[in-house]
Amino acid sequence: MVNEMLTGKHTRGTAFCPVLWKITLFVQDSNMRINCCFPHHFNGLRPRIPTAKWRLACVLILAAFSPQVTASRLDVQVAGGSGGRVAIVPGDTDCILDCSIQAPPQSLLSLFALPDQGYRFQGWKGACAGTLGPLCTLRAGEPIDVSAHFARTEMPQAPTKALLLLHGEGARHTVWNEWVKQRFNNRCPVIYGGVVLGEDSFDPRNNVYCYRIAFGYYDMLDHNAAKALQKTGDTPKTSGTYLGYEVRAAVLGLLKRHPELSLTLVGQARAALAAQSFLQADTEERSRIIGLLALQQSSYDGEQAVYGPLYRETGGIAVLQLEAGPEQDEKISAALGGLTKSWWMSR
Amino acid sequence: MVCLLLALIAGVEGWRAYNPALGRDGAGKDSQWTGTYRGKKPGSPPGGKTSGGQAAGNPSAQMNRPMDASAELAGLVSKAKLKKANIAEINRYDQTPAQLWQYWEMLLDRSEFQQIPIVGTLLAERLRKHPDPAVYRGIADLLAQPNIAVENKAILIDLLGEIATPDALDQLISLAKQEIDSPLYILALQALSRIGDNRWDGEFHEELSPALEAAWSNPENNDPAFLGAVGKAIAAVGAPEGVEQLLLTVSGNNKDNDTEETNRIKQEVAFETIPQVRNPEAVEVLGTWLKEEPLGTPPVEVSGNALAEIGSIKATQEIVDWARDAPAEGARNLNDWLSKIDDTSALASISAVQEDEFQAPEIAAVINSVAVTLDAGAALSTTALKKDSAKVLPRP
Repeated sequence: MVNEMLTGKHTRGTAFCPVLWKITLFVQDSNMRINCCFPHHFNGLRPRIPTAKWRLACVLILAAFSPQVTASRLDVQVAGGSGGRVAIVPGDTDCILDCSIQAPPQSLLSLFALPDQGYRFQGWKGACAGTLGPLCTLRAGEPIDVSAHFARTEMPQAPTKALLLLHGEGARHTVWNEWVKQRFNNRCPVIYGGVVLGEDSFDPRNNVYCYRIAFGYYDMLDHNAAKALQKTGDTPKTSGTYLGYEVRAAVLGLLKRHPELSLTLVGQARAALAAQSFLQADTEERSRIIGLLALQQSSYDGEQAVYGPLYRETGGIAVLQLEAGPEQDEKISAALGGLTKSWWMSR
Repeated sequence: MVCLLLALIAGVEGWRAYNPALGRDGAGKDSQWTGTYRGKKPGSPPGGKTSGGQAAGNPSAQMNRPMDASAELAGLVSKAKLKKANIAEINRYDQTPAQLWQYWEMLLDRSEFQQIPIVGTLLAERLRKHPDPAVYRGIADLLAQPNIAVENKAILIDLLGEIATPDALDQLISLAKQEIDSPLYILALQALSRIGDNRWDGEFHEELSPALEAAWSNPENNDPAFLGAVGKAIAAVGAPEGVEQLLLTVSGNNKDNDTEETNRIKQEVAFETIPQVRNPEAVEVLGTWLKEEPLGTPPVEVSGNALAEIGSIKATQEIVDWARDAPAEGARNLNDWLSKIDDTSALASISAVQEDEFQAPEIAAVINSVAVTLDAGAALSTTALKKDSAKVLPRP
């Protein structure tokens, strides 16, 4: 039993070890793991294996506190160890080489492939093989291996300006049809789960590309996880989180197509919450955002309750609130002109 | 002893991290996720410190990988799995509709829901360009199977709405007719009502209109929900023939052999849906009805609203043409319609006609008022818009 439980695996630290206690002994059975933190001693470059005394202490801890819970394991690798990293949420783990994650069974883990500058995301292997796009979501169960592959971008890319349109609750991406007809000749590809579904299209006057999100990725996975655009009693933070992941995936999907991207978000009604959630998260992709234009209908119920406090935190990114519907080109264009300063022009 | 105590605390923390009883919502949500990582935390600069205190870009730190044999073995197993996956990898963008359909079915079978809409969109694109009756038959077969879960049938219905071709529409209509007592009925109607919003390839798909019009005029179809969905789809597609049919209905002149009750339902639906027409091809039909029907009748109300919502130069011109001979009582309608037009180039055409003759002085007054406002300040209105409607919200 003891032999089975002690693997003596080392890491450079975990979220649960105090700063000066960096070596972790993993005590594990087939389904769970407990971390014991030990003083940090090095033998040359290699950390020393904790002595038998410390291992015994760890076993005692396990014996005393062994809970009847199980956890599922996910091993994530960056293939070749270079080109990017994988962010895993919830939990905010960010791997550049390999990671081992323990998660409650049946819970959802979302993996984002994040290429470094000069690289692009190529694809997933392992449990995410066949997943198109930079977002792969898994349900914790049997131990899972995943790897993300990145490749160097061959040619320097031209700077690209784009709008990302986010539809509100009870609506679909088609809510932008009229505006897209007026400004983009009816063409504005949809992004779902970080995958751009269609060919690029841009406004020839501004050279600004158009993309629109189709929310619902998490609805398809877990009926309890999302449904966030529905008007429920959820707090804005809860309802916006999963949709924020969808916005992040969309931005990553666009970066795969246009590495030198600068992006303005246009959110209809409560979709602004999703954008807000993304903007508040500490991600590198956020730096690509010029601003957020939040459209509200004047008759929107409870708008003060929903919007009031949220715009206090914008992660340093300008947020413009506009009373307009998604069809109102003149109003939207004028506001975008102000928000983007130079790159969007009214007709 | 102190060390043991600290180790104990760490152990308890580790246990709490796994305890599902702590729940998933709220601030403590992330705390149940545990992970070891060899990298930087989000937001840390490239080459910056990891939360473990070591440099992410430090080569010696990166070399510090697990050395034990079991880990190495695990790595080998993992690589073998990856290689297998690599062989199975196919470029989905180059597949035929039949191949994509096969893959889509496999995803449904494996409940890989996150990929289904993506592959469904690829399949829809391919099917539109390369119609394959076998794929449509496959969809129909699955929908007809009693042992397929309703949830999966709902996904199939979504797929039909995404494909949005006449073949897909036929299936939706026949499904709606067959499944009237099933939970799929409402889903089929939803897909049906949205089918006109799907402007794939950047176009209004008028080829969908004949089937919708046939469903609309069939006296057997008398369910209000069905008629509502079909009417909405006809308006969203906006083919001139379809809009004409809706206008005939709203005017009470349609030739369908409907009961009085069905006719009343259809009139209500048509009255609601005609203002949702956006297809520029319908402008002429709308303009004709606007000019030929007496003021105050439903066709005039809905045609004017639809033209104003289309808001193009041509649509605005139709409204202005109507205004020339309109009676004084039409001033309110004219004002309402012009206030809906958002396109400044369309509104600018009004300035050009303010010197023209209008039969009613009240109508001329509305035209003049709009023209004066436009002349006085396109720039002003933009400034006012910025000041009144948009505000940069305070930063923290």
